[in-house]
Amino acid sequence: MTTHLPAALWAEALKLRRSRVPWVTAAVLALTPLLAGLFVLAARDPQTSGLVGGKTQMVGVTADWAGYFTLLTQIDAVGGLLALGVVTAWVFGREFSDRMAVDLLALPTPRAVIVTAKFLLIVAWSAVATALVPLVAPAVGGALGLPGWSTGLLWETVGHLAVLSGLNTLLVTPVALAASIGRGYLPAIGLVLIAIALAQAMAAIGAGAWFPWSVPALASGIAGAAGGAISATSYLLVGLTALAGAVLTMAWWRLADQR
Amino acid sequence: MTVPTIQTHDLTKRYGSTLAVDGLTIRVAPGEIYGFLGLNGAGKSTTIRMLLGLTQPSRGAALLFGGRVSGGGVGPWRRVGYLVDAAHAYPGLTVGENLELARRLHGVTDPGAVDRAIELLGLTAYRDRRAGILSQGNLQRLGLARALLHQPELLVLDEPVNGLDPAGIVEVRELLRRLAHQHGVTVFISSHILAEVARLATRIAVIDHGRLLAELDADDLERRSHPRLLVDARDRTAARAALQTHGFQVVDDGDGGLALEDPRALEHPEDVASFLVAASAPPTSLHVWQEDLETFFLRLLSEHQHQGAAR
Repeated sequence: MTTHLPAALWAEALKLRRSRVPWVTAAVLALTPLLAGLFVLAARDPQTSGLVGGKTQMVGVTADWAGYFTLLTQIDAVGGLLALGVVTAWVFGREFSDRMAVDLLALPTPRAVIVTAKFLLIVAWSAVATALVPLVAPAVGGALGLPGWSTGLLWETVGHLAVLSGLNTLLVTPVALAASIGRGYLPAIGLVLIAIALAQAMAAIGAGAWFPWSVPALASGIAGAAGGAISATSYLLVGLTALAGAVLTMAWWRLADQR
Repeated sequence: MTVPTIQTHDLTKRYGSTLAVDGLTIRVAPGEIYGFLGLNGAGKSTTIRMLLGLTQPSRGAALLFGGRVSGGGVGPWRRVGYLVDAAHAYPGLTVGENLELARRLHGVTDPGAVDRAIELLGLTAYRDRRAGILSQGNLQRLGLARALLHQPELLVLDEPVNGLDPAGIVEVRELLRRLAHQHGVTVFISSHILAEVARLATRIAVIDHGRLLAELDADDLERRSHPRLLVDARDRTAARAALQTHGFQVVDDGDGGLALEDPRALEHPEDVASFLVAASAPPTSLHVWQEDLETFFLRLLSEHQHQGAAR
């Protein structure tokens, strides 16, 4: 595997670089500080901010750096899953949509290596896209003139974002499977949207700790105590979901009939 | 004994109740150009997919270079180039990048391989153009370039001249012939352009409903095809009677004229003319007609379908 992996990684990186989807999703993710900033701005003056102001009051957003970073983490917990899901759907699904999958299946580079390279590229994309957020966030918060800045707070947020990014990255392996079985990116994007919707619903009924796709949002504190307390079992479920998605995707590429 | 490049034993593929390929057994020797003919849905593409390990047989086996083909393994793919499902490419990558990607995944260490493939398929002017804006013909050339890039010993091509203009078709035909004759490359080619296959192939297989109907080389084709002496006369009734008097079995040629399949008539048409003149039914035309591949193919399928209906 190691002899073929560099070539497969190079190929996947080239395809990713030349696509619009990963750039657009990374840019959208990097702009989430603007959205968080908008909410914090509304929290500063809730009476004149209409519905958004009311909402910020309801969830207890404070108009300072701590509130801003908390909100940013919560937005990225859900937005990150959506963005990562779209990129994963694209990385796997485009081979079928572009009708190029057949050209990847009878090569000296084994199929398992190609699938591994795709997953590694998704991990790399996730790391880079996540790293963009704390680069943009201080500028937005600074422009808003928020009180209560501390470097420690920034690093704490970076840590939270990294954990959330890791959880979301683990949770997109079933998306790769859906793109493979569905032979295109649309079924996979459908799965992402369903997973996000179900995650909200499960958190709302207090069962989020048992639904893997709810775990990142709950870990970010988005649902407060009402969403259900996450435990080691919750993280274990995330790990098992990731493992099942990766193993089944690999098996599908190796064994499924390619009609 | 030379190991066949392609060998199938009782190769069978069933999708639910549909039998896509039914007990196919073929052998393709090194350096052969093997034409694989059949109507749409005859089982050509499924056979090709099993040869490439893209689909697992329900029964039987496919062997390439003597080794059993299996999906997912490294297999013999370094020695195989293929173009199936019409040519496609990553639309956002240039022609050069598409080929560079293929070069690396094929483990070809020589970066010059890309330039050679581009030159071979006449794609030099398009090297830096995105594949998404190529014409179908140039996309087909790109697909062929990708199949040839790593100098394979076996080429598996499904409709390789699709979308090519007449000059392109001739170019590809000559290229494949050269690869087979000068470099010993085995070519397994499926096409619906029968005349093209007839010009190129050293052996031809015809399949229908997943079954091998006939497998023949160029000599077989000539022998199997039915040469006929087509006769026309102003008085066809008199001409028919005269020929029957001389012991010929006369059949209709389908256009109202008369046809003789008797070797005596085919070898000595001048005698037939003499008989007709002597019987006061002089011929207005007399010529030997030999069935081309297309007619042979359609006749074979029709016979097979009639046999099927009779069963």
